[in-house]
Amino acid sequence: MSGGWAVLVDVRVLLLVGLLLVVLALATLVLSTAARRLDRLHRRADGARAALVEQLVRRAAATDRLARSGLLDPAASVLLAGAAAEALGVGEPARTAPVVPPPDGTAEPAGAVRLAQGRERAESDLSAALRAALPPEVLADLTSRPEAEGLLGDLATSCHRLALARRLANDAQVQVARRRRSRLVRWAHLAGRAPAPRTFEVDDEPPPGLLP
Amino acid sequence: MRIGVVCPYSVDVPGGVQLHVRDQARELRALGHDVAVLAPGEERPAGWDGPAPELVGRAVAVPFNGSVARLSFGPVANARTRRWLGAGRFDVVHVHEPASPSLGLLALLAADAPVVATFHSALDRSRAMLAAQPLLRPGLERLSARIAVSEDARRTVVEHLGGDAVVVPNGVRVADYAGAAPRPRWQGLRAGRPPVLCFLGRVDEPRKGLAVLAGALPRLRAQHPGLRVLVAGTGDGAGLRDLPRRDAAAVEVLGAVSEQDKRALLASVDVYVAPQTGGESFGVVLVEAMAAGAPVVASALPAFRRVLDDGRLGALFPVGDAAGLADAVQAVLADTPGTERRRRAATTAVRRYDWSVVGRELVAVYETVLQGVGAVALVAPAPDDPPPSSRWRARLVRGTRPTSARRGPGASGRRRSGGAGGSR
Repeated sequence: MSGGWAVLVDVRVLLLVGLLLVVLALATLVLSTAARRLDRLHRRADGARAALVEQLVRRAAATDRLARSGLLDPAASVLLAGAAAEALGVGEPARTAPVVPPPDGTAEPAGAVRLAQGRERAESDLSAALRAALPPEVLADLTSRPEAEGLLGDLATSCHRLALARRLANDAQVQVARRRRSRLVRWAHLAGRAPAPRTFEVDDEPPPGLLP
Repeated sequence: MRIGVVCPYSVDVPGGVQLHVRDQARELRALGHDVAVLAPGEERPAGWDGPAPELVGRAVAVPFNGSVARLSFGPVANARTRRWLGAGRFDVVHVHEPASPSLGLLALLAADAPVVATFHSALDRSRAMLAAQPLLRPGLERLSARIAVSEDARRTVVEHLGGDAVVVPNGVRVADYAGAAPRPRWQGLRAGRPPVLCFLGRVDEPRKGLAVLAGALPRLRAQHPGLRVLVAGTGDGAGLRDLPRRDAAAVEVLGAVSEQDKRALLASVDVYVAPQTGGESFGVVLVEAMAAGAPVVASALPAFRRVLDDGRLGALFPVGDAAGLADAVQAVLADTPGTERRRRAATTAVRRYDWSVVGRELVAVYETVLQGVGAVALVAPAPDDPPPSSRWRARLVRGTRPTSARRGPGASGRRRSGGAGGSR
């Protein structure tokens, strides 16, 4: 009699434990798949953002070289050198002094947002300065001078690649944002303390006629 | 750079994407890159002068997205794709039409290298696409860069998948078209005969719009007795059989033509007519016609308007309007100076689509992608700066706990501070 009871209990416990294990295994599988997917997107977004930052620096550097080449009139040179220095300078603090994240760790640090906004403004200003300093007639004149060829080529390439890098970076941010809106990711807090995705909005229209 | 290019459609039948893959591979190789091609098919097609494709064998003809496509899928194709990827050790894998159930999708899911994809088609939202979305999304999320062949194809990508895409247009070998010799039997006005029009594209596919051209025939023939229409493209021409006998006599069906014949045809005729009624995302043939020096008359689809610069490079007529087509052709044939002016403008404009330009734009995309990948790789080994993403990755994927929760100021700042830490 008691032996029969023991068997009955055993079966129930076994069933329960088995069920629990299956549920756990399923949950692990679902969560790890979702985490891996999100992680892949995060890594891609980080990489694309790094490429964007590099292109921003390259464009500012190319502008600076053109400004100091003596090929442009003094006023345009000053305008371009100033805009390039501004763009490079706004990007600088991020390199030297990391901003401390807020203790809850969920949102992007306020300093970083301010920094990004300042940078967006400085880069848009640089685009506007380039368009102002290189109107079609100046561009046509520069194109005809052999000593300007390398400088203009660098600038054209960096402008084109900046637009490319920005589109890739923003696309990656949008994908991350969408994935992070999914219920599973929010409930399981899969995004951890990764900063909130944020697109980089800047006017990157190159001077008309400046073709790589 | 080692680049692997994946074609989704069988090279046993000619097609736009297949030719695009061939020319892309050829151009990338000319730029000094190491290029390999993977494609469905049984034997290397004639005229394939780019890097020889690795063929995965017979493709299956299946209805997909409104037409019949020859695709490769299944365990064998998957295994071959994986083997090809493993042997190639590519820096970048470039797949075409990643949303079609073929090698592109398989390569996308199996590749370790960053994957770039080109979306060729501008599609209307279809039920099949919507149903496939949840299945495709995890794969499409792996793409490091999406390329659309036109603003219209880009809009399709944005609407269907969200996010954004960069635009790199289809390429054309401009020199091959510009240097094509005309054939006297296809010439009209220039040989002192009544004008000759030409139409390219599948005859029995309604969206190609042959019916619109046929509808314009009575008026065109009334204005130009003896006018001929050369129709090049596959299909049995069932739609043409309903034509009145006299109109039908003006139509000459050439059937499928080789690339060389296509170039000669475009170089010979007086007008190239593109009466398509939809489904076009770019209009390579328009560029080819312009490169060969044929005046273009096209329906005012958004993609065509863009290629023709809103009528500066060729004449436009309302989509599906046979009378408008007849008027436009009439105007092109009558206004010789205007047509000549357009032809000259078109010859300059098509240089933008030459493979030498397009190839470099593709390389710029690859390099931008690799720049990002390199930046992440530079940072990963730094012990005091855990990979950004999620804590779960460290715990679940790697099985270790993150060592600290310190974070940088945002994606870009963290990258750079991390990069400095790693190199110190």
